[in-house]
Amino acid sequence: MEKTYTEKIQIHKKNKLAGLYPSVKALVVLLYAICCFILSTVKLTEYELALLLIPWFLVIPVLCAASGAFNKCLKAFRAVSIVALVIFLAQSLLIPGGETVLKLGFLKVREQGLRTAITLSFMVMDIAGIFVWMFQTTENKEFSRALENSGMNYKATYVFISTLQMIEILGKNSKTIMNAQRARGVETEGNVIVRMKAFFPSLVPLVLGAVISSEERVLTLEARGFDVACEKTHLFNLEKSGIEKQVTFIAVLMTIVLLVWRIYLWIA
Amino acid sequence: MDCVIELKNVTYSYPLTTVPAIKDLSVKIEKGKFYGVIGENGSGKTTFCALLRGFAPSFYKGDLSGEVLVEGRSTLEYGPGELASKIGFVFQNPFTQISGVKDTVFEEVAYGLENFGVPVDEIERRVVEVMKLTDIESLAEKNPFDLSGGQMQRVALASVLVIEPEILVIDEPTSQLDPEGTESVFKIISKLKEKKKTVILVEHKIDLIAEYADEVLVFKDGSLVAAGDKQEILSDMSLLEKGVALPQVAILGNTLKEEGIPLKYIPVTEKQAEEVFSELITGKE
Amino acid sequence: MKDLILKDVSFSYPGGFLAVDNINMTIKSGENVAIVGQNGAGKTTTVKMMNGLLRPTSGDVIIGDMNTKDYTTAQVSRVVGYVFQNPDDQIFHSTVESEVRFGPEMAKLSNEEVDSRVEYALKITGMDKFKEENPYNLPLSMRKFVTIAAVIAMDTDVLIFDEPTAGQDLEGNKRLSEILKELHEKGKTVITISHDMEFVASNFERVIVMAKKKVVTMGTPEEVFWNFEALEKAMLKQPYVSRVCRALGAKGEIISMDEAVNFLKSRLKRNA
Repeated sequence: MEKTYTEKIQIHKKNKLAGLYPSVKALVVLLYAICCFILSTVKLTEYELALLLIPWFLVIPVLCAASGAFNKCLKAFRAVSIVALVIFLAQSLLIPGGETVLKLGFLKVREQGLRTAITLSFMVMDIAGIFVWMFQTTENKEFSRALENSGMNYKATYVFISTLQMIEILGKNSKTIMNAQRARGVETEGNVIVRMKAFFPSLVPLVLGAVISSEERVLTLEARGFDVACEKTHLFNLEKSGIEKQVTFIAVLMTIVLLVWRIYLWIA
Repeated sequence: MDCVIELKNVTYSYPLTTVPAIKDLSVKIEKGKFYGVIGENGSGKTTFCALLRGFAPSFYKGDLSGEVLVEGRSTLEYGPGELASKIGFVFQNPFTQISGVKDTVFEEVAYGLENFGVPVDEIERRVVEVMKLTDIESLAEKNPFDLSGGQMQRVALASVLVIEPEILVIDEPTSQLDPEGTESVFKIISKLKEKKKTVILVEHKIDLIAEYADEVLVFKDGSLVAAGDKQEILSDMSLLEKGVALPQVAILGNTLKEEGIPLKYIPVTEKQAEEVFSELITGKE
Repeated sequence: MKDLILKDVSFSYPGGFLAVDNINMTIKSGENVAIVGQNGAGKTTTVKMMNGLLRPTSGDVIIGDMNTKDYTTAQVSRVVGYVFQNPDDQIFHSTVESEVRFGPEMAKLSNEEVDSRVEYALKITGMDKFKEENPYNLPLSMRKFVTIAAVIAMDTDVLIFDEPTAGQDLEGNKRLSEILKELHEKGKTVITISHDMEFVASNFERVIVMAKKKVVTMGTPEEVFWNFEALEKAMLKQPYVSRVCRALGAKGEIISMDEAVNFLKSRLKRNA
């Protein structure tokens, strides 16, 4: 028999990690981030660098690969790495203080600069990375269902989910707007100053457009009974993958072990 | 005839404005009739729609005097969401009518019924039915944002029709669409007419109004300047003074009449035109 | 002379979607041309190539002596102005006047030149009475005229209007006709995309019909609107008056109200 549409929209994931219940994924993200902070307090080498943040990042590609989403995540990693690299360069070259570690012509990398550069850029890599894993392995409707199940107000849930969707659409709109501005002679290709000049003409229509369409969207929702005070139906049902308990256990255990080790280092 | 919506001496101004958008408007909407709403841009058509549905003043705020009664009860007395099941509302911009939280057309159309707490089996049945009516079943598993404007507008219509309101307010549904998209939307609108729904349609394409409407409401500067039978209003050259074009065939008829050619009546639709003119030509043989 | 020539032009979007499939057209300097067809026929992609917003994947787009391949979009836009379908993609100033001033000021013209161009553009679009107004306080159909004024103020040789008739009322359509006429008299090349067949029939000397990424036919409105094969391919209808006359036995030519009146009168005389 032909499947009903209600059956077709359900998500059945074969990969048990990708299919984790969203709140368990959120817990993993949280604990991973806590571990980042713990690790960042461990200073190595004579310059007191938080080097452990670097191997800690390796957890993420492993996790993504194990969730069968490595390729999907790769693009996002590239963007994250660029941001981290910019932070790294800016911090290491600009912050004065301490001994000079490295000299490249007139550029000097000082001790303090290197220290903050490593901590900050790898924190960004690690934490952004774990979020990439969560968002790439979870669909919007899974989030929205999980949020509502956790007792979050349906309006707040709507705002959260529609924001996720809108980011993509704003991206598309900003391209259209850039084109519209180029069509009237605003240079958008070229050096930083040229691009900066093009920024404002593109930003105003983007923001105003978003405001106008959100007003209309509110009315659309109202027309669909968004505000009706009754128990809502959910066509989509969340499934558990069955290894939630194990994953929670491992994540909590790792965090505790790290924490104990860190405290031990302090005392010893 | 039953009156489903009545406006009594309604004057309404948007916040921070001094000139009212609607001035002393009294009108009755009768059950099962198809109303074409026409007028210049800025003449108050969209505000009129917002008043019928209670969006003005509940959403837009502003000052309202007089009364808007839906089935005898003031729109101000309806609780949140209550009017949604009585009056379906379709907007001009197809894009902003996509909820933005659903991944497929099927879920998008089902969204309203989820909000009303309709059981799952019934949702499935009603959504499939309405997707057939609006000819979007082949799109059921697509992402609504990946559709063309005309397809999005049909999804928007489906999302409202699935709630099965008796009254539909449709505000310029085709102004952003191509001829094909326009035709597909009007196909659905003509089905609504067959189903005897009460329809209030704002539309600039006057030839389409002539085709579908029973009654016509003409707005100018916030006032209702003409109302009544479409045949009478759309065939009268004075409509031009109100800033509205006549159907092409009506202009043709009027021009011939002015030149002294006796017409049985001034046609407003293509079909009437063919009838009147061919009778004239063959009748003289 | 700035003739606009498309030579064996194709365009595919990144990802491989073919939007325009090997088209050829020549638009003579000073011509007033309409492009019609359903959405997805390739109209907007075609005009975007004329403006340099998109570069053909193969073939050449030549404007006068410029091949758009060798210039940036901003450079081409000084010769070819383009009014987008959605005015809200363009407008970013808080008054109508400053929006229209932006283009000429960017081009670093003298103050007097800027003033006179802005005044002219505001006047012929009827926006002069709203020049102090915030564009976003005007209805969408009026905002379209703000962007039209902004492009007219650039004083380019070629102007492209993308669906200016969408959502316009009687007054708006009349104003558009006047603008087109004025620009034509000034010797500008004007290319307009429109879905309104009545508007096309009465405002243009030449019509290009597109369907399925290709040009189906080109010709005068009289030719195009009685070419049923082409209309069917593009899924377009004749103007209303043509349809009525056709039903009454007309064989061609009729596209305007006057022609329809004359046709009916002659039929009556013949029968009398």
